[in-house]
Amino acid sequence: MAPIRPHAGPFTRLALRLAPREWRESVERDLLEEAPARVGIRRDIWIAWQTLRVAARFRMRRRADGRLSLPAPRRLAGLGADMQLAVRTLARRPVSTLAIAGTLALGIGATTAIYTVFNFVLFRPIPGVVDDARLVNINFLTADRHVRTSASRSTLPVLRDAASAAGLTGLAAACCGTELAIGAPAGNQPTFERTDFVSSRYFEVLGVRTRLGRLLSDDEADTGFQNVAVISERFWRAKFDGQANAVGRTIDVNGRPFIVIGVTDRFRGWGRSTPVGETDLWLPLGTERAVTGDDSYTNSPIARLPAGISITSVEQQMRVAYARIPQKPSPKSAAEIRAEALGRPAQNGAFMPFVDPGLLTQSAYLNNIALRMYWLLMAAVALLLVLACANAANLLLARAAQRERDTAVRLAIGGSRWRITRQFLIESIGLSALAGGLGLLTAMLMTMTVRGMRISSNLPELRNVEIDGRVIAFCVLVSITTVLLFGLLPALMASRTDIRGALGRSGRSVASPHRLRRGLVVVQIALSLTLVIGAGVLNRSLGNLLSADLGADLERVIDLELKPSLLGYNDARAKQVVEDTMDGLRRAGFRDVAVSYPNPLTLNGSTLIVKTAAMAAPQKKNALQSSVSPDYFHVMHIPLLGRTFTEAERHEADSVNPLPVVLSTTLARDLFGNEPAIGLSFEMERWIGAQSFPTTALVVGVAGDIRSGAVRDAPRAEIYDARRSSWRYGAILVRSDDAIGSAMDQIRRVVRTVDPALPITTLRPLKDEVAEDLSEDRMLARLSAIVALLAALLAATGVISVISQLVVERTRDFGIRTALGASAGDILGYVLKGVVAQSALGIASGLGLYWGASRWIATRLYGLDALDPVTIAAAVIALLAIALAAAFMPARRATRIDPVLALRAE
Amino acid sequence: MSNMARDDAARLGEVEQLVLLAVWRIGDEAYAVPVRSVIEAETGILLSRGSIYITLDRLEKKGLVESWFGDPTAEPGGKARRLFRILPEGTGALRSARRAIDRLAVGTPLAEGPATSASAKARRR
Repeated sequence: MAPIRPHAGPFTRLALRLAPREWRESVERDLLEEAPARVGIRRDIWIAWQTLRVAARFRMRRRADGRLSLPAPRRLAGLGADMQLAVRTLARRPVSTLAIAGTLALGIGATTAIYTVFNFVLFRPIPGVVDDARLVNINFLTADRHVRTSASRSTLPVLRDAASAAGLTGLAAACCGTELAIGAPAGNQPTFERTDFVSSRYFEVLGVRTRLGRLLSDDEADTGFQNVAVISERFWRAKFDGQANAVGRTIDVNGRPFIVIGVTDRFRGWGRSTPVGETDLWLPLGTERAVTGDDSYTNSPIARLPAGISITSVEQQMRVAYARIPQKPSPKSAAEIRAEALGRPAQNGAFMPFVDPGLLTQSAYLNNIALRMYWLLMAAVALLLVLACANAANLLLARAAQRERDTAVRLAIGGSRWRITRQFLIESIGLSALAGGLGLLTAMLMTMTVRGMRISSNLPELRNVEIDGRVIAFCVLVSITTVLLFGLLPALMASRTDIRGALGRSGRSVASPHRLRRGLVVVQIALSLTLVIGAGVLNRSLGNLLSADLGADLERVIDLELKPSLLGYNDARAKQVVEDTMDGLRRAGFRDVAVSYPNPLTLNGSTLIVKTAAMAAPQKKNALQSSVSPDYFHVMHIPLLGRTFTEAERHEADSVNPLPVVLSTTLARDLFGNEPAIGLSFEMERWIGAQSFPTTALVVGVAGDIRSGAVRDAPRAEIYDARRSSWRYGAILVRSDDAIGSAMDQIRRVVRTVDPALPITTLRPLKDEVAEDLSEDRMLARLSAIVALLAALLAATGVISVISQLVVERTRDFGIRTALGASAGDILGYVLKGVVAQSALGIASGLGLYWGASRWIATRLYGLDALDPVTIAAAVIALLAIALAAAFMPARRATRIDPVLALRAE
Repeated sequence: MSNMARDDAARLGEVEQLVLLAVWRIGDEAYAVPVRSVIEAETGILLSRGSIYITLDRLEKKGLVESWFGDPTAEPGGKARRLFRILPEGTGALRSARRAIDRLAVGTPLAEGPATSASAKARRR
């Protein structure tokens, strides 16, 4: 028999409290025993529901006629009575109640969904870290904050002394978010996990706790004499199935065995500027050299600021202490060396420590992107919310109209208008609460549709967006706002009921005047139009982006990236492996194979110092420097003037003089103007490692511009040479005419024949990488489309309900018209003309609203104007059609009114 | 006569009869789950869990069954459930109920066995 889970879920525990105390444990055990093959949350829900039924049965009494009923409610005065009445009123018309709550739930849900996504990416505190407001990070910058260098291993002890002199509690550092190969048994492909090598006190400063086992001790971290590792929960579940015996087991990291000593509680590190971290493995800083063969610079050291001390005072004290320490190792980075070369002197000591609050580097660039999208989307869903509230207000007004007599009676026998208003407000609050709950569920569903997407290619994938306390608080806030928006109006209107009028008439109510309802339709059409046009232009812009000409034909090119360094191969062996792979691919039938370092779509340019014959002095240019194999231009279908490199040049590229290079059109024009560049030579600085050598370069070809990286940007200056030295980290590009799937399988097989353990870090079509660069636009386009769809739906619902009410109200009028000889067409025309008139007004307002908002959207568009007439016209026609279609059904009912019945009801 | 003149507490409703009988049949350590399943298996009547709990309570108040808390499950914080056993008063009540039906059924087809009902019909005709 399957083991019984010892504890019931939270819902069940709540429900059990409704049962008598001496029965609770019995009920829980019995239901657990009986819970059939259902698993997980469904089981919890089933048990909770059965518990509720049992608890209700305990509370019921048997009436005199033998039927069961709940005990009569106690009489509560005032507010309590109003609340009970509100609940009863809502429960009495369940369909109507659910319609109103559902409408609101759409608006609340959409708003909450947007907030959920961005809360996950931007706003929430870093999970697993305690009190991250009191943490600081320490950077080495020049006084003007322009040049930065990283702390190295050797500066850590020095920094620690300075930090403790300055009053900081604990300083620690970590490096570097490297992807390491975690071995799989029996020569299968390894998996890759992001790893940080951490110093002593790292976890202590952060306040990270363990779910299982323990964290690194100070000795272990700094000296690295023990190969111990700490893993994340995600890694634990993936690799060890969440078993408790994971502690003590060994994992294979880059070929070296490490013993797992603990599992962190919710902690996964953090991103560069977002709280979303993807680190799954922490190893001692002392083991870094053994594992990766390299001693990198650490990330900015972190420290905890004790209460009552300000950052500025700490910063000052640190600088003083740091300056006083003799014989500091100089943190000279390659960046610093370049800085010198570019004419910016960096003497020892010119870098000083800066203390910045928080753990996230203030990457203004990334934050801006995400924030801008956030506000844009928030504005859109706010409009949706207003739409939903307008619908809800309309429906509530209709219900209030039906209760007009009831309200009038209450006023007549002495009730105060305030009581009436309060009654309606409480009902609205109840509806809001219901809508809030439904909205939270809707938000969960909506966030699931964006799972797997990214907000921006620089931000992590939205894999585990969760709903936490902040989101729920936000949802409550939004619900309260909706009450004010939709509940206030009907409440006030109800309190203004004209007693004599309501009681005197034969029950026909006109409590909600036509004007108000017409106004609501106009508002709905206006708001929907704005959203629909917005979605339209965003989606067309995305279409433009996806089909933009990149300058190279990426269709059918596959990107293969290997990382022989992860297996510990040295340079020569790595080069050999790459050559072997390329030979293997050619033998397997792929004719077009080339190599490029770096990856052709990379974004990073660097500074190039050149001097042509026409220049007086060397100039700095920003250009992308790539080393490619001779076939590169052919494989990528990049147009080339002149010639590509020869095999001889490729083999001797490291030593040949002059160095043959190919320039992109932009760079050629920049250096040589309109003069044909082929055959000309120029001087440039060439970097090998950390040293630069002056070189003469000879232009052998001029290539078409590619838009490497972001599609929107202008094409970049690019210079290609034929060096082989850095092919360790390059990309092998394969053009294939076969189906992509089978081509990739074939490639994988070739790699496995060359070297079965060789880690393949990337294998995918190049155009997928382009699509990833467009993540923001895709995200915006998809979300705006969803919002526009919901808006149109709400507008349609609004029109249907308004026209229905109109027909019901004016039954007598329509009956008379029919009796006097009007045909069905006449009546239909009469109703629809009214709809058209209202829609026209709505459309006009909507256009005005969009015109005002177009400024914000314009910045995101590519290839079309924000006020694109085609899109606007299409949206107008679509909405008009929707409004007419929505009005058609209820209008038809007007034509079917039997005049005899209508008049008899008088 | 003295048995039937007992107070209302000893008179059993239909559900009470079923549950009491089931408890007797299960023997020792009866609780809601087997009571429910045995009643359903033998009579086809599926009582709601809540009714069974309430009925067991009521039977205990009437003094026809006794209850105690059984062993808790083997984990820390394990739950102990209520178990029931019929008392002599309970078996007495069931016997009274059966006798009451038997006596009242005299002269009706219910009293005669299935084999005799056909001849009784023939006699009446």
